[in-house]
Amino acid sequence: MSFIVKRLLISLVTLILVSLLVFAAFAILPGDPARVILGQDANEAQVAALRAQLGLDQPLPAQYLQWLTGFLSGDAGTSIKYKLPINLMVASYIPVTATLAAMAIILMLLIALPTALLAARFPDSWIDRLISTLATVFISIPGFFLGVLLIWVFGLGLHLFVAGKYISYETSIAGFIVYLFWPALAIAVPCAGMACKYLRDSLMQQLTSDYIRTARSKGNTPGRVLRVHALKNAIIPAMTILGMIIGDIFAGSIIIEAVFSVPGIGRLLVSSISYRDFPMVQTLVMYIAVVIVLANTLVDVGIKVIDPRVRLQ
Amino acid sequence: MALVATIAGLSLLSLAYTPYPSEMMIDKSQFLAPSLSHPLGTDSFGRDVFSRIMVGGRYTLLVAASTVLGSALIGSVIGLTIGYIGGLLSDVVMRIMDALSAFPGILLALIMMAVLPTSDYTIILALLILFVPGYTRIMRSSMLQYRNLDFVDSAKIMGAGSVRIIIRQILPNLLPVLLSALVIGFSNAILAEAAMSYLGFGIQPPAPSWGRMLAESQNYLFNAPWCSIAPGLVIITTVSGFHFLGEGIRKRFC
Repeated sequence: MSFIVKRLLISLVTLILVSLLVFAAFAILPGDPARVILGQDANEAQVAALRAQLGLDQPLPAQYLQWLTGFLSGDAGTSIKYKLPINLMVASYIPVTATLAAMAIILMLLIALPTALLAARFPDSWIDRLISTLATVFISIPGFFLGVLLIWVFGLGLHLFVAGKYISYETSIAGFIVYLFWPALAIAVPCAGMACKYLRDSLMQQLTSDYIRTARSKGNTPGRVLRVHALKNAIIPAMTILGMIIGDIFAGSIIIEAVFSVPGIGRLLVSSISYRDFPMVQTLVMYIAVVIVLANTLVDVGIKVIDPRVRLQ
Repeated sequence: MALVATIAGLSLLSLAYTPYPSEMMIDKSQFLAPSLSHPLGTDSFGRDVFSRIMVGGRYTLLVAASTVLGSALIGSVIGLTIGYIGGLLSDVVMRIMDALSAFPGILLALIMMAVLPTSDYTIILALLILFVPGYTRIMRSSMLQYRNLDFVDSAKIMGAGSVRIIIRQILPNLLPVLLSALVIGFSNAILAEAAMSYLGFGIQPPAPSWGRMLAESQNYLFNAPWCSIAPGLVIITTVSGFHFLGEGIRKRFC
């Protein structure tokens, strides 16, 4: 119990630090957001009035508190570009990215688990070497190029889907899922390469243990020893990199959304940065940070539940 | 090694000679398939893809080189200093570095692009900040290995100052580690630059860069796949070339 409390406290402190960093990064901007919103033609009085309205004339700590309480109470302000409440906009983009990320995680597990088991079942055979080579290749392909290749081969070559012809989940849930399959695959494959390598090495390490020999001598088949006995213990070291991979999945979705023209958080972030829509960028970064920190916390708690011996350093 | 040399050589050669001017638009020769006169074909404006890759390599390698050297310099100074001094300062700096590297790299670089004033060099500065924590960590932990060894103590007894000990006594021992980190950093920097310029945050057009070429040509993927496949393959080749070179150096010397 105290482990979970301690872990949550660490996450809370991290989040406060991140919020300070995000706020500070945008507070030291040379430009004046009020000037950006109104454009160059506005006179000084208009700019001053808007500054007062946005609270920009307040001292920095007061601005920080105002921003943070706004963020926490669900009122993150108004987007400069779209002139709409930020949270309203984010809410309409989140389902897309959330589905994409969830599908990517499922695909990653579906690819990584069987391949890692297969590679560990026949170590140093041609199949092990093939899997390991493929994993290395897929880790080193840049995500956007993999996306372009998928569009070229499966979209244009085999006519399995039409890139850019996005189907909203409001129109058709099935069409939406099918459309997101390819971008999710492009995000999942590099992560699966990494997960597969870690899991295979972790399995190989387990296979040298005494309990594996016991399990074998009791007459279990090699496949069953691997799936039932070794996998449980091998999952724990592999889970620690899951937190890292979740970060990668988000980074991947920023780029892959651009490749496949998926209207998600990543696209919104990139276009807001190009437009210098700072309140929007600030809020999106905070949301992403919260998700990543929470995911890492969940992973750590999950490991503790599976293996109670683990301690915080 | 040969891979890296070829890419770097071609990029350098582009300073003096390209088969066709990289910005020259040849009439009526849009989307020519690869042939003897255009080894990698031409793009939507009738520009020679091979020439543009050569010139693009120049920008990519320039950005990567300045990023890696800059962040290695800053990271080394910070890492060596806090590693040598230790204590609370070291802990505080490392927590900040941890917080920085907890973000996915591309997100951090994007935030930097939003925060920093826009110019041709913003991308270099943004990526530079991205890579500082890595070098700080490597140099700090290597410093910790050497800080309490006998030869450092004897230099202290001989009256050498801290800065002199760090630079003359300890740094030479760390050079192999730094070198392999530099080369591997190169491949990461090229990848990051390509991703950023793919998203439209790199060197501005019409100057060619590999990531941007890929993004621009994606619309013509059906008619002219070579415009996309060529820069993509060049990115992969260069990145893995530097990666293997770095791994080689690490295995050889460390």
